[in-house]
Amino acid sequence: MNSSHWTRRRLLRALPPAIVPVLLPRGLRAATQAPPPAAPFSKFVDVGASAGLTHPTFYGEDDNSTYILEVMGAGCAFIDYDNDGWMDLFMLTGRRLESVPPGDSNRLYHNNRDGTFTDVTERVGLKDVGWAMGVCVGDYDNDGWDDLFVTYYGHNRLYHNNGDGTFTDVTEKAGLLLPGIHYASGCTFVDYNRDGLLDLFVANYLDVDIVNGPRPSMQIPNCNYEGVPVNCGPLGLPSLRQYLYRNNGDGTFTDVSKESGVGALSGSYGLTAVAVDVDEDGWVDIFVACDATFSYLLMNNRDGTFREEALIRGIATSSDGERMSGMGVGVGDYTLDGHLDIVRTHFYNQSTGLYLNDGKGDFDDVSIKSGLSVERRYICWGTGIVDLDNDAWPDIFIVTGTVYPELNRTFPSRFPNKTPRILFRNLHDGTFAEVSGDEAGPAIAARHSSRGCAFGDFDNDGDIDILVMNRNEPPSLLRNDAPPANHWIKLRLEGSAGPGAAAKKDGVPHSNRSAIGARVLAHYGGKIQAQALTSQCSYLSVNDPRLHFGLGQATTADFEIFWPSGAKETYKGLTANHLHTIREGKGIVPGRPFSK
Amino acid sequence: MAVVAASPARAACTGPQALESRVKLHPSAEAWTELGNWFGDHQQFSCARDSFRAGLRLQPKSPQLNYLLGLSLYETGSLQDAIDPLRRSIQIDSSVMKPHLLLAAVFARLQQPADAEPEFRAALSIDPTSTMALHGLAAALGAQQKSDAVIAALRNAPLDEELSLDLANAFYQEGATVDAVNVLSKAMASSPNSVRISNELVTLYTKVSRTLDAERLAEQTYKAHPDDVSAQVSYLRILVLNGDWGPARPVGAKLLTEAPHDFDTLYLNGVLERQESDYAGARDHLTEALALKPDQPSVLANLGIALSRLHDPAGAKVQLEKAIEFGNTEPETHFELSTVLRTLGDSDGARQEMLRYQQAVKEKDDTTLAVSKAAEAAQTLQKGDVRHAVELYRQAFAAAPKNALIGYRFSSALDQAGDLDEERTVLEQVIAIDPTIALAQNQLGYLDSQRGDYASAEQHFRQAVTSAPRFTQAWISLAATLGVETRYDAAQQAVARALQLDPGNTQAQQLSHDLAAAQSQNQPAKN
Repeated sequence: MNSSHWTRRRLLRALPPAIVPVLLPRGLRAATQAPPPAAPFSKFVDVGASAGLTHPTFYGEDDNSTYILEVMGAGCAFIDYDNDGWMDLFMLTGRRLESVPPGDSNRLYHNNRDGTFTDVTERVGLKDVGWAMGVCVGDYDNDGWDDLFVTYYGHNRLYHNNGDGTFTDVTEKAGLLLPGIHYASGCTFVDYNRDGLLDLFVANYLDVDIVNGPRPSMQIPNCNYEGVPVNCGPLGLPSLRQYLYRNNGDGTFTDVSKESGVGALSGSYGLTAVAVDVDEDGWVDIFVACDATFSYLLMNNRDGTFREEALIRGIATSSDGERMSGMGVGVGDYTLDGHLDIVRTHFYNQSTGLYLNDGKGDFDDVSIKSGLSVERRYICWGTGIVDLDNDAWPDIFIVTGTVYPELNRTFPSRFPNKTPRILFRNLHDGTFAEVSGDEAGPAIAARHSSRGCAFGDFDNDGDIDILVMNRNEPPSLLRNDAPPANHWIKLRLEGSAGPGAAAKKDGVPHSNRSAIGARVLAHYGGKIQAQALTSQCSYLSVNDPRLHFGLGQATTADFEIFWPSGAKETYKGLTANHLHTIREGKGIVPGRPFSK
Repeated sequence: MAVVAASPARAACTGPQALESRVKLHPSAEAWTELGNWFGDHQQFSCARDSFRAGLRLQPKSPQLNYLLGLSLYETGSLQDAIDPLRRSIQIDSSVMKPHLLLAAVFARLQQPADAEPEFRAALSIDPTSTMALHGLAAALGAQQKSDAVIAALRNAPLDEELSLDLANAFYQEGATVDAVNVLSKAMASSPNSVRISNELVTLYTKVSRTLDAERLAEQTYKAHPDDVSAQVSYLRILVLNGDWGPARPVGAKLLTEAPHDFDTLYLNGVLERQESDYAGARDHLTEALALKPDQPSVLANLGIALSRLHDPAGAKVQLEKAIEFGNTEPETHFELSTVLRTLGDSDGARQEMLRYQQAVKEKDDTTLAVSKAAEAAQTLQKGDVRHAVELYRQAFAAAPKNALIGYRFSSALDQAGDLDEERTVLEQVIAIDPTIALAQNQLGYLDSQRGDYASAEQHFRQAVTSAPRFTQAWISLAATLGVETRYDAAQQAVARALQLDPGNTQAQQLSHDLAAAQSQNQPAKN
């Protein structure tokens, strides 16, 4: 008898071809890292503690997690809630799964104008504890005071800014309180119908049951990672619908998800939502970064409806058609071609996606070409395309952090719990070079488990600082010490719409008071740069609404402003190193105080 | 006298003088056996066969000679002819293991695993530790997709390398990936130098998304066996999969030197080059790989992508379409083809491919959701929360309404919950998806018989035994149903089949007895 007969099967040997398709979707390349320009770059110092940002931002446990919501973290915001011209800080927080730590709450820090902040949360009426996710800022009633909308696993909240240093929870009165538990994530105020009133888009993440839902398990396919039981999802968990609310002009909103087409979107796990006019037709579109699924790009049909076109416009996936874990979104013009490009942060082993806009809202994935794909070690969250060193070329900043703290025990070097910030310096040729902590300061190399981050000039010194939400640690406030030789210019835009329905009265187009949705072209030193005024950006966070342009050696700049109302205005010869306040239809007006 | 002296075949067979003289002068079964064994030892199997046949004429009830005849026929490739003597050997003396093993091997080679299985089992009943019988049984069960039976057979058996692979694969097929990994990890601990076990464990780690463990093990094995091409391939594969291009490059280069014409070498280097944007290099290596295996969908797809990036959309289109034709199921292939078609100006085709891409992605997501929910449901059911398990299975089946297996598990949970109406509805959906699922047919038959619809029950039981002829319980159910319908002869035939499959089945024995009694009682009435 031929003994080989008995050993004829090699079923497992048949497996390798089966995994081969897995090899398909990758299309990344380690781009050659060009040396950064010799010019000095910004240095960053974390001044959070000395500035008084001392309360930890609780969000799940440090070393384990049962459900995905414990690790998603939350956003943060720059908001000048008292209109004093100094950016205050709003931090969202979570809780522990089984308990609420003493003192836990979302927090509003008032800017003391001396580099320090005071916690005014209780005094202003913003004390609240829960699984907060996202925040968006906008003056929805056009009363001149920025309001807050906060998304939760649970119930969202709309806080009306009373203009006297306090806020009132008006969620129910505004018609925004939904029955039942929802897992809302991204949100953005957006005047989608150009009536001068800020409407509200709310993204939802996924359906997770934190009582009976699946827990970390080796038996359930989506509940383990690299052989370690971890929180389940997002794949394998049901997705949720998205919401659009129309502002009625009387302090209330109407759910128009169905008639706008937004409610029909399905299958994706929505996270950060950004309202921006990507095709430059004067009507604001909405981009939603979605986790592990197709991102959404909702193109404004100019008739109160949207059409979803992310796939055909090249921004739903990677260039290979691989669905990415979209977390955070940055919008900016890194090539200085006058069009708004998008950066979207992703998961382990996925390059951060950089999408070049052709001005018509069609995007080209240039992650490889730009050099961003060299860095794939971390899960990336908050991000921005911002000119950090004022050299006139926007850079890219990213915060990182794990979602699987359990992996640290098995793979401490590969999957540490805390990971550094990532900074890509613009090399002025369409590519970037990663800047190390040695070059940009220890705050860049410092390791945290970060989520949201927001970009703004908290000390009014003419450069962009960075506020960072760190899970279970106090926030970081990265003070930017930009090279002093470079110039800059800031714009504060104010729409002309008056309170409530008055926006529609005179037949003249009016933009919402916050000017959210405005697109600005800056011309300086032979360059042109586009920026957008957004209500949410980065990861579920809000940037300083004062648009900041680094000018390099230029000392003046011209501006074209495309107001969300559809109006266009041009301003010439604005001087560098100043904040200019522009009111729609009125021109440059005296603004809030600004001192360096 | 020489019994076979006149045989022309015998004329070509010449054994040692002493043995030849013995069969001529004193022909006996023993003498022929001795001569046949000599021929067998000298690989002259036709001569051995004739000798054994001659011996059998003298001693037809010799189990040994029947076995030896079967063996010689097996060795000459006359598999069908080997069956009868082997069966005779077993009938005469069923306590000897070798005839069972050989008969099982014959059936296995004849691609009749269902017939091989009982012979392997019989061999194991004689020697439960027989590695050969265990290997054979695992193979026979595996060929019948009976992974659960493989696990039952091997779980407590002494495992060698081969059996470890069999058991691990069975666990994997059953979705018990943790057990699969444990089995191979133990095998690896027992045989730390086994490249084969290492390679299989690397593959398994990859399949269960433990890519770092896979890389670590592959690297260890690669370093311990630097000249082993299979270890190099295994390491390169996981490096490419993990996107670790830095360490992948030298391994790929080494393979190109040491095994330049190996399919895996060419394919993996091509994929690596494609990932690193060296599209010309990728094109060349993938083209070479394709020459070795022209219908490999993954190679075609990668080549298509490389050509697309090299601005050869027409060439890319050909390869991508072939990839899909040859079974590439990756959604991204449709995505790439859509891009290529758009470049070629075929907007309608591009749109169609994009729709296919989206559909494929959706199906993938739905499957992921369904599999996760079903796994969660199984876990919940184990904990005894039947109601919650039912809800989870409901969600799973809703996400993958064409997945008959999930549907069947859903119906089982409903059965446990006592919701027989919905159980029936779901079972009907299951057999509408796949009428060959014998368990579903059997259960539907049971439900029908419970409500007195014996005609429908009979149909389902018949479907069950048609789909799974060795499904003893379905035969018993069919027999009972036929008995109720007073079709005793048919009932007896069905229960006889059950007893043939499982002679010790007490339920079948009792039913057979009851049927006989009922038949004798009802005989006059029928007349």
